[in-house]
Amino acid sequence: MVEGTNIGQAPPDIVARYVGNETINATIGVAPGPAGPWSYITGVTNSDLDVVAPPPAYLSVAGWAA
Amino acid sequence: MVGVAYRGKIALDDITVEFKVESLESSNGMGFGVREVVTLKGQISESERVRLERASNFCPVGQAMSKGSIEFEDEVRWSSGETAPASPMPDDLQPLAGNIPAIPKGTVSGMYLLDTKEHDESGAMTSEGEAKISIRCGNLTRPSRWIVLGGHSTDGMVPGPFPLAHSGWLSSTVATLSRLLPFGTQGPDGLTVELFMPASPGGVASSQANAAEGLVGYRQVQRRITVPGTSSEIPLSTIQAALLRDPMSITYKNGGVLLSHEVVVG
Repeated sequence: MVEGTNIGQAPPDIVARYVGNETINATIGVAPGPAGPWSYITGVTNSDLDVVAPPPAYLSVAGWAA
Repeated sequence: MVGVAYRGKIALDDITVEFKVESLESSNGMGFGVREVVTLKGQISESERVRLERASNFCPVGQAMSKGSIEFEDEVRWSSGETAPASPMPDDLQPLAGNIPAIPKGTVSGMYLLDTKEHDESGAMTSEGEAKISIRCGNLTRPSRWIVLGGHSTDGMVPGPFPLAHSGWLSSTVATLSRLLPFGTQGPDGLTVELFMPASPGGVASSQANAAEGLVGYRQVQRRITVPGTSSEIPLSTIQAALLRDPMSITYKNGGVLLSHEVVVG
């Protein structure tokens, strides 16, 4: 299944990756430029471990607060 | 809000905002709602408060989460090299089954950092400045607290509000897919979500003008989801069905996360 898409080849502005142990690393300003990068860890809510970082929705609400 | 007040010559000396985050279970799968209280400080008349209340209602990031103003197009890539457009989704697609833990209750409080406001040589404001945001939420064994910074500054010391909000959206996408997709023994290692944001037409000035006038400003972005494996192991329709369960993707698509909203002079 290889189909054409509308997303170009430019570097992304933000990247989020699963990094293990119920955590995700999101980096803003990935491409070289005058500002950034800024990296944030978020925690995947689960029933076994305390999250070590805010759940993702909280990071979005933080953007709203800013 | 600071920019709108400045353009409207409203004597806003300081501002704070508090969001109470509530876990919600509803028919469309929405995972949370927020109650927002904005506190204005300064010599502010009732008519000025009403103007700022309208601007707050049409805050660009708030629009994304309360009015569904982000129009996004998805692409899926598999680590095998296959690629497929994932938008639009089939109308009859059902959300993927599986357990997603509830979003914990908590608060998000924003404090304006007054001395980060920037002016040019003539004294005109050039950047609204930055905010310190305190996040508190329940955890399994104890309450937890974190601090992040965001806002507008020319030197780019902190991320802007939209990139910060979008990073939460992408992280939510990763979290949901990591929970629901059938990754097999390798697990979700390699699961990645990228966002491509075209420059906003008109920039900050246009966003603030829209907020002041009570207009919804729609923005287009593109999201690329890369999953480990092949399209046979994790079919496109399974990924799309999992996306229908993602709390932040639901919020961005449908809005409706704002449960109550107050703007008070304190």
